Amino acid sequence: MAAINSLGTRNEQRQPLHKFLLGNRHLIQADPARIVLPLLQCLAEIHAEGKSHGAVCAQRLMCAPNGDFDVAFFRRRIGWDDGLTAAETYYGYPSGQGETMEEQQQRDKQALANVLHLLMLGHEAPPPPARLTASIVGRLGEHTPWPQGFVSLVEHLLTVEGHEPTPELDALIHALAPPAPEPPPAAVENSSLPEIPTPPAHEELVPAPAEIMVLEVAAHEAEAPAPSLCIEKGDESAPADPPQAEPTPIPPDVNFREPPSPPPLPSYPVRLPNATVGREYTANVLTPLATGALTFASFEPAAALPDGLVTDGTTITGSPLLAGEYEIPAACLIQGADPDRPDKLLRTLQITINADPRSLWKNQDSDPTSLFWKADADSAALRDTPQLVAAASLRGRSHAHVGSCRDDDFSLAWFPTTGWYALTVADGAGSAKYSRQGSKIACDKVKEHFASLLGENGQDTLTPVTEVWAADGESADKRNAVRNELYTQFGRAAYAARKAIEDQANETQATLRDFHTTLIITLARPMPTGGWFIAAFSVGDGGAAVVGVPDGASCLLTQPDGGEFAGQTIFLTMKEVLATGEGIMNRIKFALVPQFDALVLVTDGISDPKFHSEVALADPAAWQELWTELHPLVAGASSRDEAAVSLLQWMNFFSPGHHDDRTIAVLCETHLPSQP
Amino acid sequence: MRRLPVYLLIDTSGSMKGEPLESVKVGLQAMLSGLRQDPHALESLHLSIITFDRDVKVVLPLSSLETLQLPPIVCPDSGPTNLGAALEVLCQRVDTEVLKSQGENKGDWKPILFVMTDGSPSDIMLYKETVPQVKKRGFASIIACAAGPKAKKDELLPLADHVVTLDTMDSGSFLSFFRWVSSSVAAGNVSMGASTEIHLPPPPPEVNLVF
Repeated sequence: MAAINSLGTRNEQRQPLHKFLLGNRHLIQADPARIVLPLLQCLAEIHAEGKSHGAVCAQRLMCAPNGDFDVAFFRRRIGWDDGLTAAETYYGYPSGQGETMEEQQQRDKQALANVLHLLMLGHEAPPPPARLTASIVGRLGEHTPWPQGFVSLVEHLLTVEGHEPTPELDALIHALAPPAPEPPPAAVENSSLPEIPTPPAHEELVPAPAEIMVLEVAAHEAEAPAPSLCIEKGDESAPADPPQAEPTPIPPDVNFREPPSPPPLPSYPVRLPNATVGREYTANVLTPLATGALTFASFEPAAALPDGLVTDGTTITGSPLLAGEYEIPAACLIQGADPDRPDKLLRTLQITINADPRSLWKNQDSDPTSLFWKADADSAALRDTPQLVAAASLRGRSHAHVGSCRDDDFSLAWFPTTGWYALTVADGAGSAKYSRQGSKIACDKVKEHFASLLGENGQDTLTPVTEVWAADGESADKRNAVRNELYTQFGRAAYAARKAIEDQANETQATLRDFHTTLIITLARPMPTGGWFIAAFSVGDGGAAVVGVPDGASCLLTQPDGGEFAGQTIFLTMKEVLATGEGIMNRIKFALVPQFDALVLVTDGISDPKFHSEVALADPAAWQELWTELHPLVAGASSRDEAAVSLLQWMNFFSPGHHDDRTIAVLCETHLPSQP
Repeated sequence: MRRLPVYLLIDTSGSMKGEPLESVKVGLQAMLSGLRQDPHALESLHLSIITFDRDVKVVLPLSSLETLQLPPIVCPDSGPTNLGAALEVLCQRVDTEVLKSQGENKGDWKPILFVMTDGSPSDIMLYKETVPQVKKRGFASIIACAAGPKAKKDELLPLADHVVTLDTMDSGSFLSFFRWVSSSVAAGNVSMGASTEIHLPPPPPEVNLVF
């Protein structure tokens, strides 16, 4: 910004803009931003203060010898800086034109627009002084196109360079924008910097169009009359037309040097809300088009809209088909346009169309040669059990996308001699590299432990205590005995699982954290006295519940270990989990239920999308809803294996943001015969 | 819907003016384009951009990748690098924007923070006071980028889990950095356990990982 000299020296050193421009063409062509930008910002500041400048005069805009525009001088006009003396003040100026401040500010913008226009035309001719009248103002610029380079520059300054367009500046840009050509040029990438057209050489100077006037009261300063500029012509018969509204090519028979054709015009970009492939889209275009005082009645795209989208001239609607970044040039009809001025402006509508996330998921097979590989999907059902016991486990899309392995696992067991069922699911941590093996070991070891306890040659210490309690459900002591026995057995199962994982980690020369897994164990047995005994032990997230218990009580069998954030949980493989007796005891829940529809175990790949919160996990109705979804799958199956496969297929459901591995195990009544 | 909140703190001090900032903007745009190709990001990523120079501006409040549009980012002619003040604002934003699991609310994924600076904090006292506050906000990962020769990577070590440096501040370097950010975010966007941090993909040649 120009240094502020004393007024005296300034007047010696500085010159009116048009004189300066004539003498220093190279400067303004080299760096017009230096003059334009402070000017725009200063006017915006003035307007932001609720003031108007009153008038903006090209002759009066002062430039320092180095080409800097004297913003301080401009500011003095409205008394922001040191006042000017009477001689320095343009006493002939009106303080502002218009009835209201808005009108006055609008006039400022119009005036500044004209000044800026002159600024760019400065190399062609000095503006002739003229008396300011409304009719002159109205006609300013009317038949002379804003030079494209200049418009590009202003738009560039205000948009690309990141100068956030204030409404005032925005309106100014609109006032400066060129009329929409027919047909409009293809939009260019908005990242490309506009180029300023090279000025014609001196010999090519043409007379200034008569229409160019300035907001100036000419009386008090004798302006040198505009030098009559000549066109250097090789052919006397060449028409000496003033430049017309369009940068029309010079007829070939005229011996002008061809002026360089202006670069493609980056028209003012207008960003519309983002769309997504396959989703209904409605965007009002007129609202984002409108800026400042300028509003539009309709628009007409000058290029095809993205596939799937249509317009009625005011909105864009439809369901887009192809993702991408789109730029659509559009001729926009100004609302209430001045009949003497172009009624259409060119804008570039920008739309980002997101892909449908579903289409982006890849399904890459995991590498069967990788250590501890397991199949991407698994399902199983017990064949000769009185109840249907089925489970399925499916690799999540997040793993399928990158071709990594499923981390979940399950195990199912029925011990005919004692009548116990043991269903287990485990969820290996997504971030642990061998967690798929951790979950597998956990499920296997749990099954092994209960086989040794409840299987053929087991020392079954569990059945007696549960039957004693079942016979006298009110007894706290008998209940306590069950609790202690469960503590022992679940504890041993969990320890056995962890020990086996530790051994595996040592063998693999990895750490226990590499095998992080959650664990949910449920035990169930029909009691000779009627009803069922059901117990559960869990570490980590996911959940197990008994669905369809008559009074709706004791539904959730597990207390999920969720953290503050998603995905935070604890793992069997963490030291603290089995560190205290109380810690283990708190993970155990058990109940006697008269009857139930199903025992359901799910990992968080299912509980997360299907239950809206941890509170919902404890809500019997939410579990009932899940079972309502699942029941037809198992009831409609023609075999037990098919029931398991139906569960597997069901687990492929799509829920945005939920793409973890999914595992489910169910126990329910069935009509399906035992399978050999 | 669980969201993955990602915060970007971008230095807009005077020294960023011109090519560096333009390069950052190009980089940001490339980052968004990259993320829009990632189904996980498209479904759950939410991005916030905070710029800091003399003033701290939340130029983009936490918004879903699907709907967000890159805001204008400007740079004053000169001005200090008030990273400390920026971290203060960040803490406030995280406290109000990031959801934690509570009752009926489902928590967001742990937020991720990227800080990009080409200098060192001018408000060094405040910066040092605020770093522990940031650490309490439960970020899954804090990655700092020291861009250009004047950036002081040592100042960033107490804040960040990972510090990367860019030798130059040209568009190629920033493009690489933001593409790397994009792939880091995609990598961090998997089910994570409480004790784990995100796995960063190997950085491109322009981005040097400081250990």
